[in-house]
Amino acid sequence: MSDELSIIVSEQSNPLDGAAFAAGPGPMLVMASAGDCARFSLRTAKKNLAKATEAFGQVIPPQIGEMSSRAVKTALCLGPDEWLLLAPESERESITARFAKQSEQATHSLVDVSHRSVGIDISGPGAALVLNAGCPLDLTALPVGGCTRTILDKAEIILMKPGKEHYRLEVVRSFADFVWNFLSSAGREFETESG
Amino acid sequence: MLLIRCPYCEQDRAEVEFSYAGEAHIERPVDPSAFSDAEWEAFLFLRSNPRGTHFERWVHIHGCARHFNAVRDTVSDKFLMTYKAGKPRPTKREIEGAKK
Repeated sequence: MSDELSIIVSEQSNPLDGAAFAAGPGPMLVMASAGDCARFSLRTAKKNLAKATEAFGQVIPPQIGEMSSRAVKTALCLGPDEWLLLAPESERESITARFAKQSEQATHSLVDVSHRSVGIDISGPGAALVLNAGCPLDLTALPVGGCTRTILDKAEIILMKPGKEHYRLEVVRSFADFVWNFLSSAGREFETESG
Repeated sequence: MLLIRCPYCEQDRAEVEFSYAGEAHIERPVDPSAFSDAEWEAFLFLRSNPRGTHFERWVHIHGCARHFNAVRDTVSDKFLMTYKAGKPRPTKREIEGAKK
């Protein structure tokens, strides 16, 4: 069946391509557009996780809010049966192929959502303050290595915390400019304080 | 900020992450064609709208994206408890217990 389908491969365009921003002394806040990567939305039952881990080549965590990240692959558990998988673009096809092979033993849905969102890296001692300008979460309660879907002002984001003062967020492309401008204007507060 | 406990995330999260989804425990009839117009109207439109304890559905739309049920006091707007979708309606004693 799949041989007959023609696959349209389009160029991934990033509205924040190469964007970078720093504010405050130190600096307090550093923001940079994260590079392109392959993204997959995985829906399956928890009992299939061992199989999925095998196909992805990296541990897929079972608990909501857990993230497992090693080298360049990251798996986020967003809901009781929903995961987001991030991997280098070069592995897009091999991952899809490995999942397809086990579709009969472990029923799942794997959707390539690489072009759906873009990533932003935010770090520095002021990172949490800037995020809290629009995000109601208590970021101190979010453990290092944690992740969650939440809201930033009017835009839904997926927030990851890879380090104590390092956050990465994933935002839908159409909201990318809005989120970038929202965070950078919140970051300008540090400039006025230092001056 | 009103905090709502999501039974799937097992965390208290801000109300802006949630969306209301109507009264809970309304079962869709198995055979609607056997219903009279009045019964069908009741299923579609008539809701209990109580003053006090109300059983309702919420969805953690900007979180785990799951629907769940909540018991809320419509007078004080306090959430008395939340529980996973598909669980039976909690008894009075369970609600009292959750308050503490």
